[in-house]
Amino acid sequence: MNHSSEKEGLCAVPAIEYRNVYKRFDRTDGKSLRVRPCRKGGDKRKKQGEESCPDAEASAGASSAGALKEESGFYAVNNLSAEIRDGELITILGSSGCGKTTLLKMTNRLYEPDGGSILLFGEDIQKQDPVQLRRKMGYVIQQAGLFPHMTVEDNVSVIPRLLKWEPARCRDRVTELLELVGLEPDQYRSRYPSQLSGGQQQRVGLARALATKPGVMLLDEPFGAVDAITRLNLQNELLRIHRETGGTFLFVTHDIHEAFRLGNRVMIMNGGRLLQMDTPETIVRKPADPFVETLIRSAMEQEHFWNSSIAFDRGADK
Amino acid sequence: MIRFLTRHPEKIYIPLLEHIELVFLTLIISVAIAAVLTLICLRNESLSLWLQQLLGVVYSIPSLALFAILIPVTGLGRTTAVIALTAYNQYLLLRNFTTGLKEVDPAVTDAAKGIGMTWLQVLTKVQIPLARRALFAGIRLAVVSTIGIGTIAASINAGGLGTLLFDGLRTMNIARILWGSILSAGLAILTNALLRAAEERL
Ligand SMILES: Nc1ncnc2c1ncn2[C@@H]1O[C@H](COP(=O)(O)OP(=O)(O)O)[C@@H](O)[C@H]1O
Ligand SMILES: [Mg+2]
Repeated sequence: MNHSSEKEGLCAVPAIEYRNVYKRFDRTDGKSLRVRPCRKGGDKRKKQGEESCPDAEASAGASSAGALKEESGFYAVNNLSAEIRDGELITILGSSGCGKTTLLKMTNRLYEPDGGSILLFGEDIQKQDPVQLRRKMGYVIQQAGLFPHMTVEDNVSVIPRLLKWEPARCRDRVTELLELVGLEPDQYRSRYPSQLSGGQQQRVGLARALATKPGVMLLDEPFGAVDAITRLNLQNELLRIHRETGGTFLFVTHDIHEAFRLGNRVMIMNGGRLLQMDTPETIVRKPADPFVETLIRSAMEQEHFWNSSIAFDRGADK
Repeated sequence: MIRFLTRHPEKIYIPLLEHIELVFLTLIISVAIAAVLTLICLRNESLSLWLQQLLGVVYSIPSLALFAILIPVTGLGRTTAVIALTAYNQYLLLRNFTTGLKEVDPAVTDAAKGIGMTWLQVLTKVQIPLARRALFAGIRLAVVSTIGIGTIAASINAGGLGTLLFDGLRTMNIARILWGSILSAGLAILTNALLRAAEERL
């Protein structure tokens, strides 16, 4: 599939749209300063009248803005705009600390942006109830985050149960989901997370996130902590699940091979900024930024080494 | 000693029952208050620090002094004792409750929030079940401490095993002194052991 020639935004409403999104963190105490640059009023903790819009700062090139960043914080996500179409599998690639997790957490409102807006099927997520919003989105994280005191069955059916589904329906859904993620239901449903391998835990995490058939899946380095062979299997399963469920997937990774293999488009981030967002082919052919170019070149050099020595891919795990 | 028991059994079991009652009453009120304070502290970091410090100061006040401070306000008797004992417990309970809940793996609570649990659901379905041992340990410490400090409550007419001790000391009645100390120490040790065993099974 080649999406690169399509003009974005012409047809349907994007599944997710980021409009000039900012997130600032305080370097010292690790908390957001809660400066909401683009919204008027309601700011409880104003810092000596410094809450001007970063857009304005950037366009005016105000020197005070630079000084401000030094003193009080930095932008983990910096003026990021992007459109994601319904049904896409987008990978977000960038080295550790470049703001990938922050971007994902703003998408399901675990973090609130300090500027800009995020739209889900054309509706501002800021105007929606966070809990309802999150139930429309699946969320999978690296450590799986399974509930250690619950069985696989209970982990997977936790939200359906909170939504008061009939027990029989919960059970059927669990069976369906475990089959979908490649776990033999009767063998695994009554196990506890501690009785599973890392890869199996990730599968359960995936099943749990898919429980209520969310239209959007947010995956934060879900395969970051599993070994290379398991990861390859999981990647294939993910592609299959994406095909079968037809949802919009946002997949964060720091592994360039994973990003280019899975994504129909790849978002490349560095220092909180979006450098390039395009199909893997286009990015390789026309890197839009020196950083992207270096990234591609280093990946190719590694590839070359593997091609010329041993014939299997070990991934570029850091 | 045995003769004292056979002749005046009510002089032993009544203080013992009083003592247990005092501990129970204090425990129920303390846990209820600590639960509310914990919820507040979890949502407000700076208030939490401030409150912990304040409770630390209260905890360091010697018990006789705290009773003495309260007497002008609430008079002699059990009410005053329960108030003072509850105040001491808040330090132990709040510390154990907040640290226990905060020690739950943030990846797990993040995931719980991220898949769409409300904060109350995260608390009741995830944080409390996972922190149950720390929560229970806090309660155990509070109970044992209440049993101990509770003996001093006899000095303000609140009854309990302290009456045996104080009466015994005043009249130099060895049997009373012994029964008072054995029962209060025994009660504390036994309760601690039982609660610890229960904690292990959690
Ligand atoms: N809660 C937080 N408080 C303070 N700084 C944070 C917080 N979360 C992330 N950061 C900082 O923001 C930057 C981006 O973090 P993150 O989005 O987690 O990066 P990534 O997921 O790409 O590794 C990092 O420098 C990180 O230290
Ligand atoms: Mg991350």
